[in-house]
Amino acid sequence: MIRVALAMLTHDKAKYVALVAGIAFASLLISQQAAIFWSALRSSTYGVQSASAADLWVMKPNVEILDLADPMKEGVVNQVRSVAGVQWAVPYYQALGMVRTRQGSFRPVLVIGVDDATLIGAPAARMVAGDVRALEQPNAVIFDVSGYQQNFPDLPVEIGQEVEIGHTRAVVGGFCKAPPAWGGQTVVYTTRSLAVQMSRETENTVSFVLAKAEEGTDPEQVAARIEKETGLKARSSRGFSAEIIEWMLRFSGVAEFFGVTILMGVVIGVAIVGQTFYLFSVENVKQFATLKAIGVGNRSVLGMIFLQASLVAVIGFSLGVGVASLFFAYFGPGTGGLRGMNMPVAVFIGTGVFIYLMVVASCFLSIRRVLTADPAIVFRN
Amino acid sequence: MASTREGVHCEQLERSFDSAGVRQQVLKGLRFDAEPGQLTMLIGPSGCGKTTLISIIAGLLGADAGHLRVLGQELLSLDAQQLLDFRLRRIGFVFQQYNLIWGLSAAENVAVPLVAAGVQWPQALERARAMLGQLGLGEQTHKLPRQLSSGQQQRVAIARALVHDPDLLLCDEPTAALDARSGHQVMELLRSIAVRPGRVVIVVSHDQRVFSFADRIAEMDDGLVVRVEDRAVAPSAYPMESSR
Ligand SMILES: Nc1ncnc2c1ncn2[C@@H]1O[C@H](COP(=O)(O)OP(=O)(O)O)[C@@H](O)[C@H]1O
Ligand SMILES: [Mg+2]
Repeated sequence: MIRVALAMLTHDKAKYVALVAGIAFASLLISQQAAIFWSALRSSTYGVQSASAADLWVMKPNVEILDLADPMKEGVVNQVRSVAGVQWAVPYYQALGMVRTRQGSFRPVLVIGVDDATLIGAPAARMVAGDVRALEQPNAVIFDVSGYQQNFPDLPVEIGQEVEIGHTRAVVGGFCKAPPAWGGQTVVYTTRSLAVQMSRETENTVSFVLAKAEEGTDPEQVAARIEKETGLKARSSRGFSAEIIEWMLRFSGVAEFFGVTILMGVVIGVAIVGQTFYLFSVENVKQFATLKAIGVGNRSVLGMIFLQASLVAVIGFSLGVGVASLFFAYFGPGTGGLRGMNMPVAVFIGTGVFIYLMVVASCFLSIRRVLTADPAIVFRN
Repeated sequence: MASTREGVHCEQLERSFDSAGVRQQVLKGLRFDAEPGQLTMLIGPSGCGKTTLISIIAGLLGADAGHLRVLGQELLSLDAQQLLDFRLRRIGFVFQQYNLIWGLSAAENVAVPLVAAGVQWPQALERARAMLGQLGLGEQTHKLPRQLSSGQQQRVAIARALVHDPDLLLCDEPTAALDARSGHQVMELLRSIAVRPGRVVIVVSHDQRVFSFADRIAEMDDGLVVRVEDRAVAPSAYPMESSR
């Protein structure tokens, strides 16, 4: 009866298109907004992800997220090193700096200074050109490639270009992909010594201490010990990431902003898809009743409706998510506010599951009408 | 299988409906018989219960009380699955509004009962085309219902009702939506193709113009069969089974 189900579904082209388009639109709206939401949350922990060698982050007790750090004196690094269970500890510094464009104006950038000796915290896994070891060269910096293009639209994306940050001459030693900082600033990596120089800071030159718990010890326990002995705030990498995301959800407004849009997508989706599919099935009640009168069983009828629902769900979802992915493929690599964003697999799967459940639910609502329809209605006009 | 040659026999059939809290008895202990090899016409004013009666005979609707023997089966004692099977193999339906599946071609529509019974599409379509040919629609097999005239659509519906060679054909006002000419043509086809030995054909109608096609006319009024008239339909190609 597959052929019959398909014929019934596609017979009214306009309704069929409306059905698929409704699902596509809902998929687009939900997946796109969810992807942006997801990317925004993920990028807020980018620094923690980049410093994958470290499993402990130590900071002043008042610090809540990466981008809003409160630098400490250099001595804290040794304080942390001396805590039992700490294998090693290195400083990590970040500060706002000003980059001078070719036109002579200044733009803010977030300069991240990683430990000169170990380069821990540098975006080794996110390089698009060059290597983080380039930072071992004097005055070398690594630019986020989109931010670089934004600030220097007239410069080629080439290693060796000279730029000026905080009145300090720097040489571009490589390009990475790094999401913009909390305030939208482009991220520039360099060594801590150069970053300190660029920010003209003299005293408080350690934003975070990155540390590694000794083999076989639990980072959470070591973190607790660091807190007890130094009076600083210490978190495992995982715990810090979770706290950052929680902070973003509670205080940044992203949850409200995207929550509303995603909810809108859901509501619009349910309204369009549910209603269209419901109408579709109700209009077909008599056709199904005719089949039942002829002797087609409820199981076959169920199968037919299910096939119809699945087909429109899959086609609509593919179109919608396809458009959303194209959207990110087009804007993601660019220099605008969507740079670095993509369609995470989780969003893809999540949207798919949601759309499918929605279609199946509306399909079941309509099925009830069809299954309980008195087959004797075939004789009524 | 002598029982298959039995016709349709109802006695003391009762059926009520509740609508808006009011109980309305539609069939009031009705007696009705239709014999194989004959075209039995069920006539009567609108609302007297004709459709209710054939819905019960088709196993689409239950009865509140009474006896019902259809093709040798005690229909009221069958369960849902058995009723479904019974309809699928032994009953053909023709509806006032044709009830064709919109997206299917004429041949596909006719093939549906066969496919539902497990026949493969190619074989089912072949038989469907042959059936359509018998009904003078050999040229229209690939057309969608909306590309056919109403008379042609009803003929497609008749082909669908007959393609699996049922022992009982139930037609509810098959000519009511047609003009006089198409209506006449549809009745002629039912007469010449549907009526055969061993098959019970029941046609509900209140269309006076077609009464002449009946072997027997049962007239209903207010939930009862009030008059039965056996007629000699001439000329008929088929030997009549003896009726009462
Ligand atoms: N499912 C139903 N629910 C309530 N009333 C019904 C139902 N089916 C039929 N009736 C009532 O039963 C009566 C007989 O209907 P029907 O059998 O369709 O008559 P006919 O086919 O002779 O015109 C009508 O008054 C109709 O309103
Ligand atoms: Mg009626």
